[in-house]
Amino acid sequence: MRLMARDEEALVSEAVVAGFSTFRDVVEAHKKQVYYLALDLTGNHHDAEDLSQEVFIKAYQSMKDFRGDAKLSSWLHRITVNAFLDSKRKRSLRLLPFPESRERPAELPFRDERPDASPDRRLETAMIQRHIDEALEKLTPRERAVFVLRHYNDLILRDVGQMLNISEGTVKTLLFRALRRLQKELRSYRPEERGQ
Amino acid sequence: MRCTECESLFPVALYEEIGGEELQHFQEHLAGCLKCSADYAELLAVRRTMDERRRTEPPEAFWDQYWEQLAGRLESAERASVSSMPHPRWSSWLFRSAAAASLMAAGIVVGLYYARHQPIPTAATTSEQQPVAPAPTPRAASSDDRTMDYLRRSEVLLLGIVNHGASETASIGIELAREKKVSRDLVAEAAVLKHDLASPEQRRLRQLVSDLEIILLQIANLETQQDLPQIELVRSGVDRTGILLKINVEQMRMADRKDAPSGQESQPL
Repeated sequence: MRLMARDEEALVSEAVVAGFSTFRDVVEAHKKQVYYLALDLTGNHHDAEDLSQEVFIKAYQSMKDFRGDAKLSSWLHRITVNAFLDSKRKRSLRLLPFPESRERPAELPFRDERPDASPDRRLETAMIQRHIDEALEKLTPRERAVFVLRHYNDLILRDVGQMLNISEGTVKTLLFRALRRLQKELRSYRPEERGQ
Repeated sequence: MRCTECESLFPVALYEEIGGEELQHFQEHLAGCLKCSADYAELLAVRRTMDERRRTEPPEAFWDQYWEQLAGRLESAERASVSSMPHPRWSSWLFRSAAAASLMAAGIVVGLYYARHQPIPTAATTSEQQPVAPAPTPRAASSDDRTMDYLRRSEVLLLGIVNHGASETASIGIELAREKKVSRDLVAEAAVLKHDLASPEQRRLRQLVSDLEIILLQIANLETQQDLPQIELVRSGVDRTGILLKINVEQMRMADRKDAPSGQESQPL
């Protein structure tokens, strides 16, 4: 079944009627997009896998609520961000978390795959990646969601506001706060301060 | 334009969502204000640093198995939603009455049959009829055994990598192919195993298999030669997560469960 030739709305209505086999097309077409957004939001593979699957389960269960006036990908983005914020809210409500849940799951570090990358360069790249990830960890969930949607997913501020159901002014405030916090966290790791 | 106004435009200016007169005023202010221009330059640098972030690509196997994993969770979610759906009252009564009637009828038939055909029990036959503890379901037994086996093989692999001395590290490339293959096999198994370890009491085991999966992925992605920094990262990952200790604890728990008489679960540590 080729997805390219179809329009997304038709695909969704069919998925509602036909169940898994067509819904699988929806998943196959959007799994990477949803997973990478989940990875940007959560910062690690394990949580991103969990979150992305939760998104598709929610999407499957609420296909009937999908309004054709939004793009399917935007709708899935919205579910992803809301599921992420929900999970953070629930986590912060837990009074006594398990000791394991405080640990940040081990994550596969980014590898510099360029053939000419020297071991030194690779180590440095891995270190920068770690510091960026740690800086992102310092953002509040809402700050992170706004920053990730604007910076890594190229959504304009108005669209970010619509996705999060907040005003454009609030988006600007959250983005500004996020940038200030990142500035503080990354002060010693920026290239010009490393003498490059 | 005052400095506070200028500062409030930083986010839109950084992401080029400003234009026309507003942009002109903003640029004019920056040109004449040292403090704001330095501040803005710092934020631009932050933006550039954040551009250096690269997403870690999961292996192809992850995408290949994505639907299978999701389908399993979808089925469970579907079952849960169906079982929580309210039934109309009349149909519930009808169903319960019919079930009760069929149970009674079955009981009467079985009772009559045994009354007619059962021989009087002898001492020999009664001594053979000892109460038998319910046998574990084949699926549960096999998932326990497979997890034990999985943990054992992972432990051997990790110990092999962690215990390589500094002098051996230089020649590790020679043996890496075998270790990578074992890791790939274990990563492939992890997906199935995690799916089977679905019950709440297996949560800890599932988490352990997931943690292991990440370290195994690192090993599977090692380059055959000269990947010493990555090997060091694997070692520090093993060390930092205390994964070997966790494996040992789970192995002890599982062994306890196996040895414990039926119905007596070992207490969590």
